[in-house]
Amino acid sequence: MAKKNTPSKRQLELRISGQLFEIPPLWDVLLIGRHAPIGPEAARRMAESLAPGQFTLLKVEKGPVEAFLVRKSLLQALAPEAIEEVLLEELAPLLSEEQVVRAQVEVVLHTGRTIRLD
Amino acid sequence: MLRVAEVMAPDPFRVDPWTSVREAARLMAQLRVGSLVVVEDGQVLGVVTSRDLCGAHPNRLVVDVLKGPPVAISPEASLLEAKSLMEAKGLERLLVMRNGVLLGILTQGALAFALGQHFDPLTGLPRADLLRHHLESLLAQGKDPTLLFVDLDDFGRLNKENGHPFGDRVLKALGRRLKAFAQDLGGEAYRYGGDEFALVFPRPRQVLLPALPELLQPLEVEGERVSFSVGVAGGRRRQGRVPANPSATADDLLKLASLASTHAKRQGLGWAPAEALKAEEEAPEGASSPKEPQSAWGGNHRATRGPGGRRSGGKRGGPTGP
Repeated sequence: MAKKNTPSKRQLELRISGQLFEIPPLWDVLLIGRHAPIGPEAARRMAESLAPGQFTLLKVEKGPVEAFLVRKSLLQALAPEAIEEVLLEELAPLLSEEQVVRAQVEVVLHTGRTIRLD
Repeated sequence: MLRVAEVMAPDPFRVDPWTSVREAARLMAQLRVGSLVVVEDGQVLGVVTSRDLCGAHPNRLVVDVLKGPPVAISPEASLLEAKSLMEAKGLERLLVMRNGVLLGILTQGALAFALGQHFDPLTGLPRADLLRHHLESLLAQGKDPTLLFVDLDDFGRLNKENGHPFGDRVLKALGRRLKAFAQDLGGEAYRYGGDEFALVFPRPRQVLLPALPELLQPLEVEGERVSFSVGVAGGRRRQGRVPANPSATADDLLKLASLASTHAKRQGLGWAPAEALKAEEEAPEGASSPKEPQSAWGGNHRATRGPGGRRSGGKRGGPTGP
């Protein structure tokens, strides 16, 4: 029995999704692995292009993290060594040398005073 | 002595610091080079080598794989200075720069090849041209180096009786001893030529003299006792020397030390200082015959003739003079 030719039913379907691209696409700190696809200088240059004057680079001598790209405003509240120490303790164990991780750091001040009532 | 300018590769290939690792590796393969100089706005940032690129992510920038600031050397520097700098910094390449201008690059391979011509392949010791360079550079700094000239005794006879391969082994054994002695006392040993060696120390003679008797112990090579004679010059001035003409002074020191070694050999002393030559000239005829080797230097005879006329190692104290 002869086969009938049927018209092709191939279709091209487009799925579109959108998301807000943050400028800059950085949070408060970028942890750059020692063998990450982007190096510290390249990351600094990127941040400088997208958010001029807002980020600074802190290099690390040893360990999986090669450098931190830190929002400068954070350094007004905390010393660089303190930020490095906390981030290395908390995040570095989860980070491999090939990765780049962005982190949010919230500085919350708790204070209280006693006022004498006359 | 060759200078860095004569051995360096001129006009090395350069890249922008914002070049990717992938592109730098491609360039190295295309240009058949092992390194690229990283330059930004005319300023040299460093050298990136094929080793630096190994394991780095191809998207990384060259500036992110650079290791440390650039280490440069003058084109007028000697190859020995370049070697010392490379060893001290653990580098395989040096940039050759003058007044901040990049002139070339000196690789470890090119340096080793050039220096190889100045080293004796038998003993591994540097040759006489490097000895002269070392001496002259110390003298130019106003130092008063001590020079020891070492001459094997009866080397011709050793060669004739035991063959030249044995003679070569004697030279190697003596070279090893002299090198160890020199290194222990902060000096450098050289093969001057034939059966002659020289040791240079940037320190006073009196520091070295107490160690001489141990150095002068006869060598034992395959059962054969081999002795040698040493002439000592320089290293007496507390205030150093006036660095007026280092080349002529080096000539004088070499001449005096070699004549003193000949004197020591002739007199059967283990060693003799250069001042012994003057004393020999002034002494009445026959006063310093080979049978009375102590002469004015108060040392004891170091070797006696053993059976068959060969020297057998006696106590080799040598003179204790200045």
